[in-house]
Amino acid sequence: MRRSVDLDDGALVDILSRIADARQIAQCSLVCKRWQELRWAVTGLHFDFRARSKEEVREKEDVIAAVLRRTKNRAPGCLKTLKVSLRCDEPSEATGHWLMWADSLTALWLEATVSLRWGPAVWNSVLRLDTLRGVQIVGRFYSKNLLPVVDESPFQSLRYCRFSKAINVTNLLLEALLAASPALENLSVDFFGDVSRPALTVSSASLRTLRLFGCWRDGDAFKVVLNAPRLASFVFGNLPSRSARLSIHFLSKNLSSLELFSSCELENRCDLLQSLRITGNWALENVANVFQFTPMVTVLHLGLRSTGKTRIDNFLAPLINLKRIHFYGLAMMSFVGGDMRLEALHVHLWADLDFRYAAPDISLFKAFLEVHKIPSLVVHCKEMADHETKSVKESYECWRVLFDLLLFYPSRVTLKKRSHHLLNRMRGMELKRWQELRFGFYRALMGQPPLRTLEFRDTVLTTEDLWKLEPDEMITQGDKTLPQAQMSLDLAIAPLLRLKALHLDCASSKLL
Amino acid sequence: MVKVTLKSAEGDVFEVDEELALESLMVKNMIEDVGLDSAISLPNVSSTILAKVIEYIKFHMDAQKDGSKKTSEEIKAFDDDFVNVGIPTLFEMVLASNYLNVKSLLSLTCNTVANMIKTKPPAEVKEMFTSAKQAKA
Repeated sequence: MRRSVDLDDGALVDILSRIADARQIAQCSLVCKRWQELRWAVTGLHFDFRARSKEEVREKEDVIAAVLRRTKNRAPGCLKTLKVSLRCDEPSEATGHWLMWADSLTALWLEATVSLRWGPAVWNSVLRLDTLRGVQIVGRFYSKNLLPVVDESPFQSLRYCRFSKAINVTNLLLEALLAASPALENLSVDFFGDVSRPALTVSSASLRTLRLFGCWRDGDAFKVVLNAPRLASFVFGNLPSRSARLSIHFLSKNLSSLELFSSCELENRCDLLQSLRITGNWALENVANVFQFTPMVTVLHLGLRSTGKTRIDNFLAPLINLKRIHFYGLAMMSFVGGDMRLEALHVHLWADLDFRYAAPDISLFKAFLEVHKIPSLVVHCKEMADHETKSVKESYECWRVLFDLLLFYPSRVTLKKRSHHLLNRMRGMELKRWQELRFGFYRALMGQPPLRTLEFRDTVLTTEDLWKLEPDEMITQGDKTLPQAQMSLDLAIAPLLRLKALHLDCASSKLL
Repeated sequence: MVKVTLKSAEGDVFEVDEELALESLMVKNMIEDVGLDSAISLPNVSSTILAKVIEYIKFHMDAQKDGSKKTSEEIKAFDDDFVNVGIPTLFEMVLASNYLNVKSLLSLTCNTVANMIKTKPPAEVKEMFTSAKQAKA
C-alpha cells in the first residue's frame, strides 16, 4: 500500500511561522505554488537588516513595509508576532512607518543597534497597536521631548513591556504607561537615566515583576515608590562604576524577592520579603541598614565587593529566619568567624561581578564546614565553560580549591555543574599543572553521574583519561584533541563500552 | 488510577492513565463531552504514531514529577532522539500532535521541520516534501 504523508495547511503555516525570518520565508515560497499562498498566513515574521547608510535604512524600511502590507492584504489579522532588528553604522533614524501595516500584532520586538535610533513616530505607532500583549523596544529613541505621554488607556491587554538602552524614556512615560496598562505584569527598563524628577512612583494593580536598571550619575538621587500590591519581585540597580543615592519606599508590602545591584537605602520595612540579593559595591554598614528593614528573609544572595571585614554572626543577626546563603565569587572574604546556624551554604565560584575567577581560600570553606557545622555546602561551578578568557593562574587556583574540598568533605560537599562543560575548552591551560590536577578531577567527576557527552576543543587528552571518563558520546574539535600518535582511534575508543556516538570535525579526522 | 481507552486508525486499543490522556486537549474535550465509558476512537492516528505520542507524553510527565532525577540535558537528549526519525514519520507526528492538540509535541516537531527547512535551498525542501508524499507505509 502506498500512503501519502502530506502536511495540511495549518501545520505548514505553523512550521513557516517558526522559521520566522522574512528572507528565509521568501526562499521557502519558491518551493511550490501552495507555499506561495501559505507564506502570507504566517503568524510570526522576523526582519533582520543591516544598513551602512541613511539611504540604506530607508530602503530596508521600505522592504519591511512592502512585505507587511502584502501580508495584511492577503491574510488580514494573521500576523501576531513581529520582530524587527535594524542596525546602521552611520548615525540615522528609523521612521517605523511600516508599523501601520501590522495592526493585528500581539507581540512586538523592535531592536535598533549601533548608531540607529527610533524616530519620533515610532512610539506613536506603537501606541496604536491596541492588541499588544508584549512589547520589547531595544535602542534609543530620538529625543525624550518627542515621546508623547500616553493619555488614554490603549494597552488593555499588555502584559509584558521591556525597554532596553532606554536613555530617553522618562519617569512620566513610565508612570503613564503603568496607568494605561491595566494588565501589565512585567516591566523591565534598563539604562534608564531620567533625572528631571528624582522619584518614580510605581502604581499598578497588576504588576508582578519590575526590573529597573539606571545609569544615574554620581551623586544623583533617585527614589522608587512602590505602590503595587501584587508586585512580587523587584530588581534595582545602577551602573557598577557609579554611586548615585538610590532609595526605595514601600507603600505596598507584598514583595517577596528583592535584588539590589548597587548600594541602596530602604525607607521602611518590608516584612514579607523572602529572598534578598545584594550585589555590587556596598559598604557593609549599608547592607546592615537594609537588613534592619527585611527581617523575614530566608534566602540571602551575597555578591558584594567590600573592603571591610566583619563578624558574620553580628552581620546576619537581624535576619532571624535565614535558612540559606548564596555567596558569589569572593563575597565570602568579607567575613570572619562567629557562629552561624544555617541549613545550607551555596558558593558560586567564577560568578563574580565581572565574571572573573574567584574562589575563596580553602580555609574559609573549612571554617564554614567545621566551625559553623553547616550540614551541606553546595559549590556551583557552571561558569567554568568560559575558560578561554581567564588567566591560567586564576583557573588553577579554582581547580585546586574545588579538588581539595571534594577530597576533604566527600559527603557534605555537592558539586553542581553541567558535566560536559567542565572539560570544555581547556585551551591555554598550563599543561604541567593540569597534569597534576587531572587525576583528582577525573576521580571527582567519576563520583558524579556518568558523563553523557564529552566535548573537547583543542584539548590534549591521553587515552587513559578518555578511558576513565567513559562518555556516551564524544565531540571533538581541533587537531590536538585526539590521543594521536599513541594508538589508532579504533583502539583508543574500543574500551569505551558506553560510547554510542562520536563526532569528529575535519581537523581531527585528518589525523586518522 | 482511572484508565482511558484510545483506539487508533487500525483499530488497536491503547489503555492509558487518565492523567496522561488529559495532556491531549482533544482527548480531554472528548472525555468531558462523552465521559470515560466508551473507547475514544482516533481515526487520524495510526498505531505506531499513537504509541510514539504516548511514549513522549509519558517521558515528559515522569520528568516533571517531583523527585525526578532527569536533568534538562537528559530531557533534551530524549527530545533530540525522539524526532530523529524519517521525514514521513516526523510529518505524521506533526499531524497527530496537531490533531490531538498536544502543544509541547507540536512545538517540538514543528521546530524540527522548521530547522530542516531553514538550512536547505528550495529545491531540496521540495524534494523532502515530495519524498514524504511517496513514502511507503
